[in-house]
Amino acid sequence: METIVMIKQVPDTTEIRIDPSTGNLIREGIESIINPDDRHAIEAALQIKEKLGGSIIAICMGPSQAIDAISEALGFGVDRGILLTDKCFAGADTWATSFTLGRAVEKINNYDLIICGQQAIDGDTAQVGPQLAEYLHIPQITYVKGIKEITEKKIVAKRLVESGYEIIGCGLPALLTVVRELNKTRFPRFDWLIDACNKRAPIEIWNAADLGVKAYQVGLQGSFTNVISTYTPTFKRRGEILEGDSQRMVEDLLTRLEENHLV
Amino acid sequence: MLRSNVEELIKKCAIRFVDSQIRPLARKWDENKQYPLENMKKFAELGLLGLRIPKQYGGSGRGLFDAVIVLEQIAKADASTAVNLHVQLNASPLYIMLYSGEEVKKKFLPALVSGKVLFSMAQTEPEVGSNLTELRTLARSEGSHYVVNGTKSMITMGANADVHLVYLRFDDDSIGCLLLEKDTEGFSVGKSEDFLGMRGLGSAELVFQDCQVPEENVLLKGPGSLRKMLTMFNGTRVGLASISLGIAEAAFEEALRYSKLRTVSGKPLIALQGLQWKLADMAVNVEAMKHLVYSAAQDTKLNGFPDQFTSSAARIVASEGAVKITNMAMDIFGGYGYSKELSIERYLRDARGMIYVGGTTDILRNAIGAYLYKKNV
Ligand SMILES: Cc1cc2nc3c(=O)[nH]c(=O)nc-3n(C[C@H](O)[C@H](O)[C@H](O)COP(=O)(O)OP(=O)(O)OC[C@H]3O[C@@H](n4cnc5c(N)ncnc54)[C@H](O)[C@@H]3O)c2cc1C
Repeated sequence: METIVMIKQVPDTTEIRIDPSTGNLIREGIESIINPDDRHAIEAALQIKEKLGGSIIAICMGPSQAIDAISEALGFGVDRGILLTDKCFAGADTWATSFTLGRAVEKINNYDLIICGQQAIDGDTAQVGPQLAEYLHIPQITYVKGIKEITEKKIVAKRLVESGYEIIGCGLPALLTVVRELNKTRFPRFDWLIDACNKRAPIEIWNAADLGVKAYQVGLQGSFTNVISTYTPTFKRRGEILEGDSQRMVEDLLTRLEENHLV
Repeated sequence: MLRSNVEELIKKCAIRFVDSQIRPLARKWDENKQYPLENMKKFAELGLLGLRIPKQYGGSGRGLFDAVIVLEQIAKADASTAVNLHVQLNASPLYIMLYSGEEVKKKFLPALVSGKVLFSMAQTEPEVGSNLTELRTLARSEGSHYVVNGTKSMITMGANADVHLVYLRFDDDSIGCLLLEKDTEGFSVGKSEDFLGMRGLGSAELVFQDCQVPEENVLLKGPGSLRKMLTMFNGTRVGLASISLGIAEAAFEEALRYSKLRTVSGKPLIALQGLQWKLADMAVNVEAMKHLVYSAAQDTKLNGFPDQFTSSAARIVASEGAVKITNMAMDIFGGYGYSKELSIERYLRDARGMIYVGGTTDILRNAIGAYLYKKNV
């Protein structure tokens, strides 16, 4: 079983702070981590490998410091890591990201299963996994919360839906996006982390030329959507205390609700 | 070739492990005076016990600095667990690496890496602590083995280790050391210590009554042995210093956070200049400790070990600094700091114990004094 996991490096916080004057993310004092859902993707891949054998490749697109996400993946027991890094990959929207990841998968050209986390905590779109499956023309099962059956040829999975879950099966190769209910993640091994920092570690760095893509196809230039501005919403709420007897206060309250078109 | 920085990566992963697996349980271990056996199992599963063991025995072959980074993070949550691990990383197994024959290495080192064999290091005796030249535990040569008699006290993991590295006197009157396995006939674990702090060490007395130890388990014997053992101490001292550093950092960070949350007359504590000065002193002290400990950990000028002055300086500054800083942190928390509901009082008790573990800081002053006395100026 050849599995590819897609991992993203994200800032370790769900409360991202943005500098109001520059609109940039405040990164000071915030560690970078493997996106939490992607840890569950790695864990799923490890459990499948423990059952069926084979090997696991982790792919991460990001700046050079995202090498840490790859090293950590190797610490978990992933066999090989590929960092997709190039100045022109920066600023990618979900389309450009899934295109770039898709080209990397095509370059690898040998896989049975791709596992992604449901969504990244710094974007929350949940689009990259499904778009990648579409790009590759393979079946996808999203929001996977359980794997009922997996063989070299097919997979049957429990898929989280609002009212409960569905059971869906499909042939391989296929792509899964997984939710955190799927499994309990392990910790990386220190000896493997250390090995991952070695020059001879099975880690490759691929740039745009390696993927055979042009700058206008990827990153900001290749994106269909553009972020115009980012800001932290400010809530300016002011309390007001109504006075008088209860008759008076209720009347005042209703007047105000009507004035603001709330009733 | 782009690769991650080893130290930063293992620090980051150690922090995450400690936050989820150690910090939440540290209070319970302290209250129950419980040696947290599960930790060693987890350390083995994480490939951590082999950190400094050469690759051919299944380890990672890394140095003291990596051990220091991990121990510091563990000590921020539980100093006892850090000391237990320190003995496995920086103490007994290194003696085997340097001074035992190949058979003994093959027997014990892979077993340590997989967590099947854990070690203690036993020097202190009921009547001899600071002065190792006076040790009374005796190994008498009898054909192809030695017969050991004596008692050791306050031994970390004494009740739980599988193999004890015992410092003792041989019948040629030299001070040396050997490995004594726990199922040796005549060996027993005596009373367990009831310390003020460091309550998760599994500290106990060891009793040897005509214990037969095979010759190959003797690591050091004869002239020059004590000197070699003292060189090993230079490394263990730095490991211990990193644990004091961790305790101090934890106390400082918690005090700083609290000083921003707790208000007096509508202002946070940190707005008061008196407390700003205290916090500034704490920050400066922690920074100084860290530099001294890290530089000692990276010093390998004595055949791979730090020298005596550097290592002693690091331990004195870190161990005594941790007592000072935990004390100041308690002041910042006021009465709540004195309560067992928070961790500050535990940090203070643990920091106090670290003054003695591995030899008192005053004895280290003796060593530095002797060095200065001899030094040409
Ligand atoms: C938490 C904890 C864990 C420990 N773990 C271990 C362990 O794993 N293995 C082990 O072997 N031991 C261990 N010990 C014991 C520790 O190493 C000893 O307590 C230490 O070496 C001091 O010996 P002592 O207690 O016998 O004090 P003593 O030697 O009796 O000293 C008493 C006092 O006299 C001072 N003093 C002694 N000689 C001099 C001198 N020449 N000049 C000036 N002052 C002097 C000392 O500094 C001290 O203040 C542990 C102790 C503690 C508290």
